[in-house]
Amino acid sequence: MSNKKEGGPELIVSRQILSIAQRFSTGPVMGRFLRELRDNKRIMANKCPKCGRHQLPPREVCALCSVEATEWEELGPEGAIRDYDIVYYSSPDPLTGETRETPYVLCWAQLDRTQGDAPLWHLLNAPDLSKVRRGLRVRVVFSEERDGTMGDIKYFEIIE
Amino acid sequence: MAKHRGAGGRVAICAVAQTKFERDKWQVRFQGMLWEVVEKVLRQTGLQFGAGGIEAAVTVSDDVFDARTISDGAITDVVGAHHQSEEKVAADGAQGVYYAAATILSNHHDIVLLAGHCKESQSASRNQITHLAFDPFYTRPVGLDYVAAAALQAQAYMARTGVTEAQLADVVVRSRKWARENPVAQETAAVTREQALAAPMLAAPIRQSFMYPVSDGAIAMILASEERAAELTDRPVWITGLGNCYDSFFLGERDLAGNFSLERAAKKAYEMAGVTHPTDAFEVVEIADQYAHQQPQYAEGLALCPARQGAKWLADGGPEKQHVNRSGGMLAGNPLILGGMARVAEAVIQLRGEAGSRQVPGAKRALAHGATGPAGQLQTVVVLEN
Repeated sequence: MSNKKEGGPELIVSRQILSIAQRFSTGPVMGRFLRELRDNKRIMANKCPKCGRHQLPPREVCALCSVEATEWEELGPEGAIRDYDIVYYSSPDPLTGETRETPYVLCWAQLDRTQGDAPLWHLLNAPDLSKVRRGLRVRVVFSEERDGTMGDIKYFEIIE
Repeated sequence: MAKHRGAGGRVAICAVAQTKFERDKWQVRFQGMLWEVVEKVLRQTGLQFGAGGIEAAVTVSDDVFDARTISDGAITDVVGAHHQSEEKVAADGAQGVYYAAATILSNHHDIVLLAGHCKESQSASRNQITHLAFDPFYTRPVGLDYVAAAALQAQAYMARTGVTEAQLADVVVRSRKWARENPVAQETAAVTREQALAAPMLAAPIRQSFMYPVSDGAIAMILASEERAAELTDRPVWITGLGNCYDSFFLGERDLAGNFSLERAAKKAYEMAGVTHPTDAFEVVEIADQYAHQQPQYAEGLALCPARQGAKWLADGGPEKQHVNRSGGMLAGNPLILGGMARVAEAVIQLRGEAGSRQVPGAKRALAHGATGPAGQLQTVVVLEN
């Protein structure tokens, strides 16, 4: 591939794709969250024993108190949209290369019973974009085929 | 903000914790692995995060090994940097020691948490990762990675000094022998010279046995100003010398058989520490020998023996006499980016008298070395005293 500005020398540009095979451990905490999605269709958050705050996604240590967050509670599956965004460019899935249909809606939904700021981040199924607003009640819809990934959640649906 | 202490202030390492180094810590995320050691140094010192306690963290990690950009963002929960200060060193952890000490000497903070992690097992091939350290136009297309670069260095070094393959095998044999005395070491299975020489050839003359193994692990330390150190430990280990130096990025511009950058890094550290005769200045020496030939080569660069005399140094039992790598060294297994940090950790353990069956009795002064980049492009030298 080459670029040539009129009257100037050719400036060569090299196109490359970087590809590195990786395998990520999920560990006992993130691993439990994903296992619960897959096996029990439940959104489980861990909870700090000191401040009572939920963490979603669950992490090993409470970010505020620096103690292990060892308690677990089920949140949702219903909640309310906190913030949302309507995306108009096609964003390819890095694993499959497939692009989503645009526009699509991404949102944070604070699930019922959540303590602290720990909203769940996922797609919103919104055939009518004019209905999307902050505070809208939504419900988690799980995928039929589940494999212990965030794809086990299909999307949020709007509670009519 | 720390009290102004001006030039001449001292920095102590007040606590150290390491995970066991293992080939594949598949059970934990790197965050969980790091928390294991952070929690230990908090307990050792009684410190908490926040005002009056740990107000700053310096972390050591590699974005490409972590497979995410600015990968320190993923560990703020664990290093107390959620709503606090954190800075990342994307080089060997000995550079993290340097940075943390500078943070204290420059009066920014009195107490710093230094935390490093790497899971080399996360990638299918370390060579794919280190290949990316090279430029995309000139060297990558020809297939350079760190093993190939180290092999060029080994060829040049062995041709100049006459160090033999059998001598490199003996370096490995000795590493395994001492590693068995180190509870956190990874490669502890005894190996004979013949077995080491029969290992598969990776890039001549580097055999699999001559290279550090795939390794996962984490290390944490607490560094403090002289004013605060006494609150945290009754056995502070003082950093008395620091030096580093880069060599050229392009291997062809370097003298690969020599030690241009290491000699300069050592000179700076020795001058700072007042070391005039390095051959007998240290009771403990820890060299980041990612590859077996680097142990004699870097011993030359550290002036533990005369330049070009690495073969004689090995033949005369230099490593044993000068107490080099009683931890097992890097050949016994540390992630690439923690090689020098693990050397500093071992130096601290030795100077605190906590090294058990590998303890050098009465150790007063230690030398720790780390290297970053292909064929040791960046060299870091740390002198520590109790």
